[in-house]
Amino acid sequence: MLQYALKRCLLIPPTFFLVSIVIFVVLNIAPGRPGEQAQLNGEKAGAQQRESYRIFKEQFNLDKPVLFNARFALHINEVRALLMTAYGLRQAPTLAAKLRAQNELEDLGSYLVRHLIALLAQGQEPLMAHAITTQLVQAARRPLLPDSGPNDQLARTTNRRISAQNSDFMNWTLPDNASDEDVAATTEKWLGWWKRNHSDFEYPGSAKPRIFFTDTRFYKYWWNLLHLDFGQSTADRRPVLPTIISKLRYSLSLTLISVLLAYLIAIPLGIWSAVRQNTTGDTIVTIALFILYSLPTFFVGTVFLRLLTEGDPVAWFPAGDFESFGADGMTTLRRIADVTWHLVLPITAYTLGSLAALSRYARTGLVDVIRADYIRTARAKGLHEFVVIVKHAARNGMIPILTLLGSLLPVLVSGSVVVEVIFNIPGMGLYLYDAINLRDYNAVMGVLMIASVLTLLGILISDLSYAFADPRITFD
Amino acid sequence: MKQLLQSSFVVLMLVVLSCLMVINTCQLNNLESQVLHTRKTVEEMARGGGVAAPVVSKGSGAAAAGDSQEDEALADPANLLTRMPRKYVSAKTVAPGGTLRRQEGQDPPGMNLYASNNAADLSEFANYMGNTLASRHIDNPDKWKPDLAVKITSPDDGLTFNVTLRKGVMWHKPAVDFATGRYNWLKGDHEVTSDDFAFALDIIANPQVSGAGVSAMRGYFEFFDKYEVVNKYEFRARFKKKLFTNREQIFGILPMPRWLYMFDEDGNKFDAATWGLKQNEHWFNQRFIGTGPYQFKEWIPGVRIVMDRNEHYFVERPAFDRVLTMIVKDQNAWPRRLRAKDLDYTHLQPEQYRTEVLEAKGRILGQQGIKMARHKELGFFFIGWNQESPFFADKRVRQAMTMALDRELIVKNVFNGLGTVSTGPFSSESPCYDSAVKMWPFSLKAASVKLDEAGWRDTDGDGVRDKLVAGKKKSFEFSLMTYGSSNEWTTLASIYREALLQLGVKMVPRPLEWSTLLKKMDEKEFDAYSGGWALEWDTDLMQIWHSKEADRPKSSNRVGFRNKEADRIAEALRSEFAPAKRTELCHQFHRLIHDEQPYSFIYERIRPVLYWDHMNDLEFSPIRPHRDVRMFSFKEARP
Repeated sequence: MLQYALKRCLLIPPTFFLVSIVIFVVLNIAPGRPGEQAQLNGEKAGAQQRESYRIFKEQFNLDKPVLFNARFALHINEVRALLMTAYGLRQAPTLAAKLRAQNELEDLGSYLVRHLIALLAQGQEPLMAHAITTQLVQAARRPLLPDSGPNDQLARTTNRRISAQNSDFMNWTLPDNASDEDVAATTEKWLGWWKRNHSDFEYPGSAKPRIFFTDTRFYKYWWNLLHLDFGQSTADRRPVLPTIISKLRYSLSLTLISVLLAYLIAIPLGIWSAVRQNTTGDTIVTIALFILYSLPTFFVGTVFLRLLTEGDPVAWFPAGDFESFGADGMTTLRRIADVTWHLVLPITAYTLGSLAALSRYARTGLVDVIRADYIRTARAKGLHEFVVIVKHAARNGMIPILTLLGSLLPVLVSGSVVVEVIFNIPGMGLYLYDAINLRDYNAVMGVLMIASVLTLLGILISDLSYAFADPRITFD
Repeated sequence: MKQLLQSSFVVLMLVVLSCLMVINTCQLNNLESQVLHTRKTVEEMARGGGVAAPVVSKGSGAAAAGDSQEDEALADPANLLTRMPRKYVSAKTVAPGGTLRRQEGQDPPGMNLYASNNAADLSEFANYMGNTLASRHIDNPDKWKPDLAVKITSPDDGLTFNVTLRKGVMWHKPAVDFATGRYNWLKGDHEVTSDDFAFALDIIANPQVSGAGVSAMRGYFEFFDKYEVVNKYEFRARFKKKLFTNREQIFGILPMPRWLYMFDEDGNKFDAATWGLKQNEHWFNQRFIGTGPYQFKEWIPGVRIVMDRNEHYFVERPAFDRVLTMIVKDQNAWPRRLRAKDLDYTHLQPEQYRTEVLEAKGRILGQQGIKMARHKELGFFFIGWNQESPFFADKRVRQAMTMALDRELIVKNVFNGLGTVSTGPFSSESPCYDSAVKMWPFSLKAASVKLDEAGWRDTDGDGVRDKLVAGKKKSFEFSLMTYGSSNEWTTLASIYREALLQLGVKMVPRPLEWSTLLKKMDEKEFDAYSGGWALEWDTDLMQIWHSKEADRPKSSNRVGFRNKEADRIAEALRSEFAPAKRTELCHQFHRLIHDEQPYSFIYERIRPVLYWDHMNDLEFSPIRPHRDVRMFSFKEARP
């Protein structure tokens, strides 16, 4: 048993890793990019805005390739072709192609430098020289180091050096109608700089495997994850983890209570139905549950709100929210009462739907068992009917319910978008939904990573609990 | 017997224990409520004490000193600012105090106007909690009234601006917990000075600050040259190019306190090389600091934003003690929350207007003391024709497209009468709108003639018009992109589709999700799209209509409109300052666009607003935010 549990625990990290790769890749290849919508709302996309968005991408590693980085193998001809397209030097590129080329050049960043220098050294027409130098200013920039405070002298001196260098670069560009002398003079400046700094931009064979695997979005994400850093939201720039934790309060109070309630009502109901199988009572319960099952949550929720909150006919419950405004100033008891009062409707709406499925599982599980020989034996021993059902039958009949337990943990955390929207409860479901719409990669990854860990744990727990429920099951 | 005794003893003990527990809980609860009460009293005293010192009410004390400075400044004929003849709240009986409850559909993405990712959602809050140098009169938006500046002059007509600040305006107290001691470095009063504006201009100039708000501003500051701080209350801002828009940009700068944003949470100054990056994730970005009529109290994401009255406000005393903005994501819930008395007022979407007001007669209006008012929004909705596509390069085709769309019917039935048909690129409220322009009538016959003239005829008898384009026969089939989740536009598209079919034109509606829609537009891979523009009071025509913009990737001239005359007018308007000439140029432009029909203009939206009758009748501002909290008030005293 212990050995089995250990084996299962060891399997969790690799499974989690695979799950994270799948989520990460799917997320990153979906159309749209973080911050892009916001960026496009800013109407006039000037050079400074592009630069600003480039810095944004750099901060969030969005300029890196997703899984593997083979940018060191870039060929000079590709660079030339990209430049021609991005700066419109080739015969009328389509706008889409032009945009793509511009983005690609931006993302390639420092991997471009040696090719750009080589192109510049070949001696260029003013137009091409303009394109190359403009691109070089961007590509040759070193990203600034994160500066953790006044004691971080290393970062501060390095950053100062980098910004001095960057402002030098700004003067080394050429207009698109520069004279040949200007082109030559600027080329001279860049070549001089290259002589001093070329080692930073060349990739010897030994560095390639490292770059291939580590200079990628996925690696950077995992590196941070190992430090329990879920990153910042690209939408509101808040760290993801504290936001998730603050949302948990809302989601957990909703889902935990509602799941508990569902189990507390559904299992006895299932047992009751199983005992009275095929009687009128059983039929009525079955029909009633299936009616509830077929009423979608959003419908039940809206009907509740319409009838019970607006004062037409009655206003017994609040029309939404998790607690009243001013709940901070209440005593603990009153606050609990206030939250309970607010949660009655959402919890009822959320629970009703899951009752049917759960109680049917319980019923089926028990119906199979109830006819078994050992139950007849128990009755023959003269045991009380209650003891027979609860102690002997239920323990065996509940195995399907235990399987369901496994899927419970992630549900608790991920919340319910529908209930949260209708009742205006700012929980995890809503957070995830918004994050997906805004392409907020870090937030989506954060929620899904936590949910996947919990799923894995849930499955483990439900497997292990088989053994406790039924001593015949062993894993050895 | 013994067993019975034993068990009754146990039961008795349990009963006593639980009684004790209940008593205990009650006592604790009582104690807690006393503590809370005391805390509240202390807080109120602290707040009240703050008020008692420099009494501001009814414009005495500190405000009076400011007023004399203002009077003197406004007497200068060179001053570009004038006094606003009306007050924000014009109602006769105003009950002071109370909490105004309103709603927003989503959280703003941060409270830093420059560094946050969507300035539009924040700008309304910035209006209430912050002040700019000057703002537009609400009765005549062509004029400007003094706010943080008392005097702004421009001796060279729009190139240089000399700004004199109002003296004695204090920044709000930063919304931090001073009791922890961590924020002692922020203690003390801070006056608004030239340096706060200098810092705002520094932020705009630093590309490391990457919010969408600052990004949009940068477009307008393209020709900004430099600023020069003369002294604590005076500074000078200079542009490289004389443009009409310069004025609005300078007047509209929201100051940023350098003494707060240049420091980390423990009061350490940021490094010169990275301070811009630090703005993006600044520790204070979830709070707002300003000088406005309301000050930031708290923001719980997804739940609410609370603003309290600024007792030291230098202009009109705000009408409410507190403005509570609830975040209610589900728009369908707004009227319900209003009925449940969670909100004092709310506005409706067209579809809600139908279900909640038109079809449910008496359920909302009239019966329970809920009233309705309406206001127009600055902006228009349209269908844009990609003029680089073979179908819509010819203006006769575009005119035909407009004539095939029964706009009056659509506004009446699809948009439930909440709007007026629009004929051009200006708001009908603005002097720029030429009311002499007559809308293209709905006439399939006339449209058909135009299409014939343009060479689109059904030559092969398949019911669809065709034409030889670059030697190849092309039949008139195109797709219209609409924003997917809008019912009204889906209905509009299907009505339009039927009408076009009668004309022999096949149109396929394509509802798309927003980011896909944007991508298609950026890459110009579309025939036609439906959209809307929110307008400012002074519209800069360059952005949407200039042919230079048509060549720029991701520009707002998505339809590729290129017209020399339009370019000339747009450029002339940028450097024309005389109001009469400006109006004449706008009218010319309106007529030109009407003839060219780069868009089929559809309508300007009217918003219905529901409110409880404990509020004074709502008045709306002609400029954004139309539903301006500063103009609302309660008739009767409310908690």
